Amino acid sequence: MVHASRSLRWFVSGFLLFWAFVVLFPLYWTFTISLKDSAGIFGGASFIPWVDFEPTLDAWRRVFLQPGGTLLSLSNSAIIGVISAAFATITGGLAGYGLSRFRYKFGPLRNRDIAFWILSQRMLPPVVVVLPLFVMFSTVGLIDSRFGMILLYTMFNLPIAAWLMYQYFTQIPLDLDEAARIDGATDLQVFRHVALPLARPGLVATFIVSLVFAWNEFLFALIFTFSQARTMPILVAGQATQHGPQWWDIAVMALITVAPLVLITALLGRRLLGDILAGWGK
Amino acid sequence: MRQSGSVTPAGVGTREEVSVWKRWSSGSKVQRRAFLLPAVILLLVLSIFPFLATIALSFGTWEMGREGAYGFRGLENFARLISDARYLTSLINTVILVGGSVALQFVLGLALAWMVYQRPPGHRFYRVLFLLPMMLTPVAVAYMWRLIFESRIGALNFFLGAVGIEAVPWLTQRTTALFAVIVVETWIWTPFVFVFLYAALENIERDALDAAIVDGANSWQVFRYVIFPTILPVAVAVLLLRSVEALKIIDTVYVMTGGGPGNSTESVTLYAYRTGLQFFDLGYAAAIAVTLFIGVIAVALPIVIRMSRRAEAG
Repeated sequence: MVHASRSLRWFVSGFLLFWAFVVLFPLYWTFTISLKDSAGIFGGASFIPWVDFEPTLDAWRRVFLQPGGTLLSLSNSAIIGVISAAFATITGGLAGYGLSRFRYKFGPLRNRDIAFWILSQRMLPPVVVVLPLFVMFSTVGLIDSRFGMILLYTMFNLPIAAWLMYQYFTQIPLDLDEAARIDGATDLQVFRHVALPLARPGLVATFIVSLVFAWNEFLFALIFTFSQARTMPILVAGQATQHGPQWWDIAVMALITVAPLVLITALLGRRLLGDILAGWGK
Repeated sequence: MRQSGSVTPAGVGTREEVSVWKRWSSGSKVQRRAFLLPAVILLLVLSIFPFLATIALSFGTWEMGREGAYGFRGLENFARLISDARYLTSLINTVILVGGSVALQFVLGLALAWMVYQRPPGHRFYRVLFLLPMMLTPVAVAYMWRLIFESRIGALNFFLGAVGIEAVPWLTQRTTALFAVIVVETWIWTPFVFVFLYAALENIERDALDAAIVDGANSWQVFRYVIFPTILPVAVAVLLLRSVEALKIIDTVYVMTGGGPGNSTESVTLYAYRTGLQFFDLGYAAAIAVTLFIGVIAVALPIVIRMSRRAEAG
């Protein structure tokens, strides 16, 4: 900003402040709706609790006390998200390590080709695989089951997990492997005692990325869950169609759905940014 | 990356443990391939096989629940697409949504990256805050924005009313509804463009910029010869990746308009989903999905070519 003129500096500061408002306003507005009743919502514009409307916790109580609804979906989302993210990190980590350390050759395919083939699976539109998957899953009874969703989300996140771990393991200098091998360590010992501890930040990042994707996923959940395994996005999306939109309840559910993600961003946003700054932008 | 000075593998473990691992590592080639095995099996069963089945399905029909009910119909499904007005609408909508939202994301993301790169007051806060929207669940975000766009209770019409503009039924007429979806998609994904372009800018050595300025380059020359070439490859990659992802759009449309009014704001994925899993016309749904796949390939091809060139070089 040293060379910028004063008016340009004012413009930049103003625009950034405006964008910060754009980012935060939908969250704030939803929060105020969650504190209103129908009179508060349909009675015209009101923005600040206690100042221009009287807040109530009715919607929050209703959403949490509703039997079989929110709490079930919340636990489904958490269980499916955490386990599938762990599976994706493990399978992706193994593949990423193998690709970074050993020379593979399957026909004409070399390491980079295999890595890229795995990553390219992520570009495939999910709608291109869901129809046969639906037939397969109904044959083996995996519709509306948490285990089925865990399988699907592991597959869904595997390409990115493998790619990220491949990048992380490639950054670990081969000298360390060599040194361990000279000391008599086997491949698996090198993996366990040299590579894994050094890749811990990468494993954490991969896990978090997979968790966020699984938590937010819509199409698979829409097709493969409806009651027992229903995840938060499907519970939320189903609200408008059932008995006319209950805006205050929807606001509460939307906020519950994004709350963990706001927390993750607040806690890990800087690290995520650091990872992107270090590894990408090239 | 943390590097330890010591070269011995940290705590190789107890003797029994070592012997187990030794035995494991005897068949070296098999064992090395075993690292890839879980990933490859999972992708073959849950991705490659269904993908091939979809291709087969698109050339025929399938009756759910009846054994061996596949009937080959050649290009019938694809012929039906050409005269299906609902499909063509969904195709046009998808193109409008992708074009509009990706262009806006790019312009805003680039502007924000450039501004934050100038390190104005508060930039450390802004660069984390600006990541937030892309972390949030699109379905929930779409509802938050419905609370803004709804004509009777939405904040937007309140604001417009305050400056004397009549209430607009944003979500119940096609043009404004598509616009609203574009706004939401832009809100969610501008962070993606922002963060990668910001990373690209930060990767430019500030020394190089200073040197160029000391050497008498004006700000246009600095941009043209130092900044532009550095961020161009990242910008192209980001644009293509966003377009590929945006082509698959369903969740924001599903929540904001449900494809309506009528089917006028339906996206291709939404139409394929309804055809296949609400009307159980699997063959036709597969054909719709395959056309989306072809679109994705067409956009992704430059990325594929670039990556494989890199692979050859590296």
